[in-house]
Amino acid sequence: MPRVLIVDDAAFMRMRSRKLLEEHGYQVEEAQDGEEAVKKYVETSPDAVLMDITMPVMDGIAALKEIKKRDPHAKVIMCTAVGQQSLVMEAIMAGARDYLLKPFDPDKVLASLKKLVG
Amino acid sequence: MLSDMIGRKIEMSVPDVCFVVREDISRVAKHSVEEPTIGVRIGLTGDVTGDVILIFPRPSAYRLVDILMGNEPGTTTSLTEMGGSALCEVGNLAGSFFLNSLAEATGLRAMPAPPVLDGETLVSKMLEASVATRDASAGASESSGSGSGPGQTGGRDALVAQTVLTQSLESVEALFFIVPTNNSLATILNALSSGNAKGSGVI
Repeated sequence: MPRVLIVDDAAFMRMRSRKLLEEHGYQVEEAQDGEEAVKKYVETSPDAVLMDITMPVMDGIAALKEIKKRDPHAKVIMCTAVGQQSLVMEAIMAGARDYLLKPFDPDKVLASLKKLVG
Repeated sequence: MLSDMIGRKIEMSVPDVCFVVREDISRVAKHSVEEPTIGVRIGLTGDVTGDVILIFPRPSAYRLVDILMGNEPGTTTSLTEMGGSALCEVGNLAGSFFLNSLAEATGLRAMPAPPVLDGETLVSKMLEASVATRDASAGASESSGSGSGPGQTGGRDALVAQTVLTQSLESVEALFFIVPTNNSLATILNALSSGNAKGSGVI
């Protein structure tokens, strides 16, 4: 069963994402900011990460960079409402494997995860 | 379109947008939104600084939570942590939509801070606090010689959008305030008027 780390400061979005992914056979871990995400990534080595960008403590771009330092093969999907072109480029250059723009689209999330981890 | 957050599509329409001066900000809120209200405030950093604030009459906020959580109408009678989080996510989407549109129209890049829910303070106080922060910031800039005075913003202090969130046959009304710093408002207006704008509107 593929394991996915959901990173979002919004409890509502973590709940929605968890429900969707568990219904489709994924095992889910959660983190509510970038710092916690890095810690949990190291502890649990998930198959993929679904990462918000706008978060307290450490934002998603910084967390992406920290995770890639520790695991260059990490599969991180950015999932955020911020769709400015320069930010998308920054995330991709930092090693994000996909960039999904909110509003949350279950089909796109599942398709992106399936492509990365099956 | 705000959602498939919940498996149901919620559309956000903006029937009216206007600039207001400082003295009118609270009046607009009081005139258009029955107290008490619930607000979601999002700070802005980058090329544009200030706040965006989404304000709901309390019954509208509760109804929106019911829609987002998939509850029967009338289920929500007070704001739970999860309900507040759902409203914050709506604020996050609305604020980000504004910033994405602004970036597309002007090339200005700004990032939203995590949304902050204010379910207790009166909306007028929230707006006054935002404007006061803005003015304090402007005062500091002007004293250091880098500020832009009211003349450069034409006396305009905030952008107010009447907002309607619609799901199926149900509508929830809200007010969307953009309270940029003086420098940022001047930057936005300059970008829009100097031919840098690629689109026809900010929202």
